[in-house]
Amino acid sequence: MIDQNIDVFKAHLLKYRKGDLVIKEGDYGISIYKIIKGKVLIYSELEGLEIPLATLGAGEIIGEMLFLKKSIERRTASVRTIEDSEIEIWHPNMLSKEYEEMPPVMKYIANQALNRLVRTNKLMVQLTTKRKKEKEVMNIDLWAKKRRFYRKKMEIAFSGRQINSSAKNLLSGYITDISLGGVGLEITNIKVIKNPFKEGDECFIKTLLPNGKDLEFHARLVSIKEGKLPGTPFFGMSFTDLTDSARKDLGFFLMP
Amino acid sequence: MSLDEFIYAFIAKEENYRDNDYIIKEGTNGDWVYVILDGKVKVKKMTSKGLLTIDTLKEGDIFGEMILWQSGKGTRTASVVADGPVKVGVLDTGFLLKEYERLSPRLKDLMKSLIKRLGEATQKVVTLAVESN
Repeated sequence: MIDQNIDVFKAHLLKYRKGDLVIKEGDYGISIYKIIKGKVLIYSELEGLEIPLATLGAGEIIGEMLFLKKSIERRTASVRTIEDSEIEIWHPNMLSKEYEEMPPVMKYIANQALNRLVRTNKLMVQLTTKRKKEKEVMNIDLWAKKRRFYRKKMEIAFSGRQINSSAKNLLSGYITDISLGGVGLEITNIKVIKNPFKEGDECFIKTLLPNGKDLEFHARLVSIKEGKLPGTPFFGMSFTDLTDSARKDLGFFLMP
Repeated sequence: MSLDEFIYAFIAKEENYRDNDYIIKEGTNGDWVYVILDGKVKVKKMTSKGLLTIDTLKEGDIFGEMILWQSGKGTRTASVVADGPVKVGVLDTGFLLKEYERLSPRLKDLMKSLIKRLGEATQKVVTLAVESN
């Protein structure tokens, strides 16, 4: 029966427009694809990030992993066309007889290459996400640097507490400058419960703007310098969480 | 994957290497394919920031196989260095190529594409690793 079916299965040629999805990560699928014309992008999705794994062109095969693994699993990556493409679709049964007859040494090499490719792709996803995260941190730091150019000088009291650690250190003093990016804090009172403050710590800060509006925000400690009074620090902080209404109030306050 | 019996039929000779010995040197020519019989090796690639280890292979693993799918005389794309004492089997490349030629056209396509992708993916990972350091 099965042998008869093999003859029935023929390769189908499908035409795709640029941008069409060929394989969706996470779907169940058994077909194998050969690119006849055009180009496709293989990519993985992680936490909403699209991570490109490979660009393939005419003559190359996709979707072969599940066939070689001989298992019913979900697709491990997505594929979409980046040019108008023609793709031949093979039913795995077309290959299974050939695969049975494949010399063991070739199967052995194919499986090793496959395992290494899976490993390499995982590494690629890791490295790409790591790099994207590093870029984000760099952007925040750039913000912190920029802040100095748009700040408004002032002197109003604030109080705050640490929020990113169990230590919950307390602090108070006065805000010496503020911008839409962050604040400069002259600290007069600091109550260290456990560990002293260090760069990267996050705080909840509360103050009353001179225009009568309460202002609350979360900010990250970007620099610690010596304050005006001996033995007291100056904190340069960058906002990490500022509600839209707080941003608006601050915006009005900052208007010249 | 453990070392399967049928591999022995392809082993032309055995070679022993000491810790840190080069079995394959990136950029040189060569068409041997190897299988690790005992020990471990490191796969390394030269980058603008020095030698980067991209993989560690163990007993039963094959290396140098990319040469089978390069047209003409192949240039090694990575170095393979002994990680401790290693015994490798040198596979008969001519014999392997004959086996490859016997494959159906579709399986040939599949093997070729797989090896090509592995090579490209490795190159991409190396670039990413160098950039992120």
